[in-house]
Amino acid sequence: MDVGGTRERMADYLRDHHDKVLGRWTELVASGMRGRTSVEEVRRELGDLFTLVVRVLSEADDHAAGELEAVLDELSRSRARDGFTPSETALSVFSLKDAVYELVADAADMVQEFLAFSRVIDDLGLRTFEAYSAAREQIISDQVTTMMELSTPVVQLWDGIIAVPLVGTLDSARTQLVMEKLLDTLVATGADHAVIDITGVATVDTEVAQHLLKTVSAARLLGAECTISGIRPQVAQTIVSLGIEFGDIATKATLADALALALRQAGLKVVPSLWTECRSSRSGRRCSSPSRLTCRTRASCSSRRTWPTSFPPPGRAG
Amino acid sequence: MLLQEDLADELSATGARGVIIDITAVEIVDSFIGRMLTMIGSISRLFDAETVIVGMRPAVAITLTELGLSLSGVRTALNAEKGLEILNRKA
Repeated sequence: MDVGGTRERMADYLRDHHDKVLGRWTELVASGMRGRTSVEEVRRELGDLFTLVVRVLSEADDHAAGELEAVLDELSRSRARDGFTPSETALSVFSLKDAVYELVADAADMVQEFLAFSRVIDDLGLRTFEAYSAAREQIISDQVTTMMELSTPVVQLWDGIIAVPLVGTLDSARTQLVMEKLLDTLVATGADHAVIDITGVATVDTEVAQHLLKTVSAARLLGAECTISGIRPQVAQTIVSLGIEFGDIATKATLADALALALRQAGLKVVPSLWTECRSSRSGRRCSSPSRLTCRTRASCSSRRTWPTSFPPPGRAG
Repeated sequence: MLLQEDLADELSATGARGVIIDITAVEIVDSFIGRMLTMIGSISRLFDAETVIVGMRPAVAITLTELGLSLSGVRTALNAEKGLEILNRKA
């Protein structure tokens, strides 16, 4: 059987019935789109594809196959982004067969040609599927990279105090990244206190705890003290019921408590700015006794809670 | 080994109260070095001197942690200044 000849004859046939086939194909595809793309858009896309398919069938030039693949890949990718399922994309390619079959159904002498054509279209349909999954893989791997970058910031809370807010699930790869970044920042900033905040960590199991312990002991080797903060009630319950021991690592309920501890260990004390103001006022007396205040901001002084920088909060120290 | 002997000799001769080991230039460690550092710490303690290891690189710290060595009995500091600070506070 002369395969080349049948394909060429099919190409001639398609060229002769260009408008009819393309029209029917567009109709079939557009009906499946349910209005997600305009008919003109579909017609333009399919028109390009159809021309390339004919060129591939006629085997007139070598570039046609490559071009067709590129156009198909682009089509699959844009469909994937627009939320079409891979079956829908593949079906829109396969429906070219339906469109052609309706035309050649009556012509008995076109069976060989149609089979050859059918094989080409099948390959194209499969290709769209591959391109679709490749596009999705690409999107997923991009997102993973973005998440990795997003998820491990190391922030400086104070001179000599840095914090790592952890969000999401901790696995070995992420912990490794966090550990490296934390240690590098410790060296770069010369900080000697690090706070690991796990408010955003949904679950803490033995593995995650192991990772945390490793990070803390690595930081200690550099000479920095670590505090773990942001342990939520459920997490605390899990940790206890799993029998995880944090040993002599300080743990605090909130990041604020951990910062307070770090400041205390660094020998620093945050004093409300009002104290300074009162001291410098005419009375020359510290406003420890609100009743004998002479400063202008008596109202705010009389309530300890409203002091903007009262830190650590009264009664929470320890 | 030589370092340990020298250190012990020096400690007994001078009666020093502190030992600072700067390992900034150490890029690769193994379990032997980890053990050696701990041993130096123990030896110094016999002379009532405290050992501070300073300038450890992040990669070295990670390796030691992965090896399960936490250098117990030895203090650590980020750099020589901070190491001296620790020793001064102690004295």
